[in-house]
This record gives sequence, C-alpha cells and structure tokens, in this order.
Amino acid sequence: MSAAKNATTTLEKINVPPADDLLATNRYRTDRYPHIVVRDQAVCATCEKPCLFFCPAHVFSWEDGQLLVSYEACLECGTCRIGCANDNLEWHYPRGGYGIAYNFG
Amino acid sequence: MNRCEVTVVGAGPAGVAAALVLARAGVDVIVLERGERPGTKNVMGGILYPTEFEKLLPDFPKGAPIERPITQERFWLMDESTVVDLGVTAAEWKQHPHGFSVLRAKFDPWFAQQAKAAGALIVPNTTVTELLQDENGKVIGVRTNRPDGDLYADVVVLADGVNSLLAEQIGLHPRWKPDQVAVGVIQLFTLPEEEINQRFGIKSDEGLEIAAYGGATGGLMGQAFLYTDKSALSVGLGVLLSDLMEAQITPYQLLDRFIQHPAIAPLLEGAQRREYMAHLMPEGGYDAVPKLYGDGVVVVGDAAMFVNPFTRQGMNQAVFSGRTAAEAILQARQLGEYDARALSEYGERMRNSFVLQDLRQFREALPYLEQHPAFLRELLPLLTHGAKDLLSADGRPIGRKIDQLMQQAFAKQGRLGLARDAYGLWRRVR
Repeated sequence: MSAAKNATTTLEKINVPPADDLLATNRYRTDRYPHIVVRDQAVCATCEKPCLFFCPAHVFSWEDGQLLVSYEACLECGTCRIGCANDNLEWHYPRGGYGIAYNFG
Repeated sequence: MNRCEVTVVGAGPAGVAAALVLARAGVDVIVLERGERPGTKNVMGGILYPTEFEKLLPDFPKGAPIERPITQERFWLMDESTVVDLGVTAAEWKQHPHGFSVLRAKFDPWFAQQAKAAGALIVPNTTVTELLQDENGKVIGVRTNRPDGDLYADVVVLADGVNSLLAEQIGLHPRWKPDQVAVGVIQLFTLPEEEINQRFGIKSDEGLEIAAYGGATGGLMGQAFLYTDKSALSVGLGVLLSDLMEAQITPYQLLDRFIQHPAIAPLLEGAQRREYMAHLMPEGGYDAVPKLYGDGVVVVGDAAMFVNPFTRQGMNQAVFSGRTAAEAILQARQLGEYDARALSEYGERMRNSFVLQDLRQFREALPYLEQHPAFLRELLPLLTHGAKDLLSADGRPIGRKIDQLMQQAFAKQGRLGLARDAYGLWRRVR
C-alpha cells in the first residue's frame, strides 16, 4: 500500500503541466471525434503511466482513477502509441484537415 | 471506381520527390496529404542540405522559400553553467551554401508545387486509414476518410512519415520500440532580422546553427539545437524515448531548461514565442529499416527509418529514396508488373546508396552508447568541467588540477575501463 502511495506522490511530482501559454500559440482545427482512445481503464490503473510525462503536449492526466485524454491538445507525434507498454491506446491520425496545423514548422 | 497508376501517401519531401519524378515521366500520380496543405504536419530540427534537391531541380534553391544559408555550425558541450564551443565555418559555404534553414510550413507547399507543375495531383485534407489488399496480400489501393474514399492504384508509395501506420498494418515492420525513436520538441520565436544579425554577428545572407550536447539534454541520449531563420529562431531538442521514460521528465521541461541556460537565454531575450512543435524522429538505425517493398508497395523517407542521427540528416535521404523508388516504379512500369520482384530494384539501389551504407556504418554505435552511459553521464560533464577548471586562475597549481581531473576520470571505471570503452566506440564507427 505504501509503495502505491509513493508511486502516486512521484506521479504528481513529475506530471508538471506545461506553462499555460506553451500550446496557446498553436493553431488547431479540433475534430469532434477523438483520435486517441483508452482501450481499458483498468489496465491504466495498474500501470506506472509514463504517458503522464513523456507526452510533449500533456495530453494525459490521471483524475479520480481514470486516464483522461485531452486529444484536442495533441501534436500527433505518436510518442504515446510507442511508449504505452500495454498497447492500451487506440491511436490513429485525425481525419483529413483536422488536428494540429503548424504555421511555421 | 477511382483509380490512378501510382498513389503516394504523404506530401512530405519523400512523397513529393517520388511524385515529381513519376509525373515528369507522364505517370498518372495522386499524392494524398492529411494536412490542410503540405507542411502543416511536418517538423524538422536542423539543416536542409541541397544535394538531393539539386538533382531534381537544377536551379535549387532559386525560388525556394529558404530562410538563411547556414554559414557557421557550432558544436557545444554544456553543463549548467559552462559551454565548450567548437565552431566550423568555411569560405566555400558563403559561395556555395552547404545547407539552409527552412520553415516547413512554407517550404513543403513550394516543393509540392513543383510536383504539381509537373503534372502530379496533390489532394490535401485526406487521411489514409488503411491499405487495400487483394486475396494474395498484394496492395491494390488505399482507403481514405472521405466518403467514397477508396482509391485503387498499380503501386502505393508509403511516404506516411515516422509512425507509418500503414507499413505496420501490412507487416513491413513491427511497431517501433521506445529505443528506436527520439522525441523532438521545438519552440519557434520571432525576432527582427536586424536583431538576429546583431546578436549572432552575422549578415542577412548568413546563418548559424548550434548543436548542443551533454547537459543540453539533461545528459539524455540526444542533442539540443538552436538555428537562425530569417526573422525567427528555432530552438529545440530531441532525446531517445527510452531515455526520456527512464528519466521521468517531460520533454517541455527539458526544453525549458535549455532555453533558460545562461548561454541561450540572452540569445532569445525579447523574442516572441509563436509556435510549439513535437515530432518523432526515426533513430532505430540499420537494423530497424523495414522491408522496403512488397507486392504493389514501396516504403520511403521517415517511414523507412531513413534518418541518421550521427550524420544528422533525414531530408536528404527522404528525397533520395523518393526519387529512387520512383525510378524503380518506372522500370517496373515498362515490364507492366508491380509485384515485389519487379520493385526489388528499389531495395537493391537503396542498399548500394549512401543512405543504407551510412546507417550501416553506425549500426553498432548507438546501441554501444546506450550500453555505456558513462560517456554521456560522466565523461562529457568531466570534459566541460575540466575545461573550465584548467582555465580558471584560482590559486591552485595546474599540476594538481590535472591530477584531480585524472582521478575523477578514472575513479568510476579505472584507466583501462575508460580506454576500453573509447576504443570500443571508435571501432564501431570507423
């Protein structure tokens, strides 16, 4: 039990969201259909959840025992698809024309 | 039923190069791009080398939206306070630039326009969701997210980028592992052109790139960088995903640290952040290169792992592979056959090219570095610290400083261990 508690403390420490304005300058055309979906929340509950910190856009957060996916912020890099050790994310690209649209690149 | 001779998935450099060569030969080619226009999904963290573009467009970079020629390359070894700086510049680079900074949202539409002018059809706003195969597994077309969106073709060119969901779908490669990809993040800042010139001591037709190692990436396997665009600065870093997972730090925190470094922060003072980007970089090396062709299909560019983290090139290989695939398709077209055997010429020519030979050169270097983290985590910091130490007039005799540095260098693994590791690395890249 204390090990699990320690794990939670660590997660809270490392799961630092980006500065508020980091993603604010990006242009998105948000699709109403999410392109990242958790297959089984029960699997996430037992996982160390590296997605909480390796995602460059802080798409994932852990709240009330659920993995929340803010796909609207996604930069479509695919890191989570490769980093999820349990292959627990249904991941595909947004529909054509939707998602992140870089103005500079 | 919608049909064309060749369907290219992805309007990045590899896909567009293929389409350009095919269209010039009179092939009916359609390029499908998931962005609202080419370039809106594309990211790069470095220099565009003109070599392969010149082979397709002899006047290159005439007319191309380049930012600046890169006339100075600097390599920085960093810790929290110190920079050891090795700069390379050459008079020839001023006459004939060896590389350019570009912004992909401008450059990619221009390159796609060249293929369009040659007769290729570029269709944006279209995500390919799966490959269509016949009962024998031969690729016969693509399914898109558009209504009525099946498009049949003799050959499909997979230029769908590092994730290449489509090559994975038909089993040309397994899903990449965390130690085969690097996570790249970039912040783009605008700053007036004159201010950039003044700050970096360059003229408007000159540019500079800094590649930074060691503390620049928090000791993780990878590199950080800063380069000058015309009136903007691109600042970013790329680190191996497996290293990032182990370090338990977010990529944006890592980049923030670099941006706040006392040697970087003054360069960005007053600059306006305009964009934040992320992308994966294929760094699996030679052994991760997928099967490059199958019945009715070829794989090019990032999708084929054609990025070399040691020579720091990817776009060059992308354009080369796109052109080479197109030339192989043209040969197959003469035979009227598009099966794996007819397309095998592409694999053969890639094997004999700089692309696979360079990857092969470094085949064992990256795994070796991963297995010997002392290089990054101990030796590099010691070099940085040692340089500062030796140059400081602090009242200690120089002989004692050298003794102390030597002791630190050999403390962890001994004289022999360090020499053995260095020799091991040298053997793997020579």
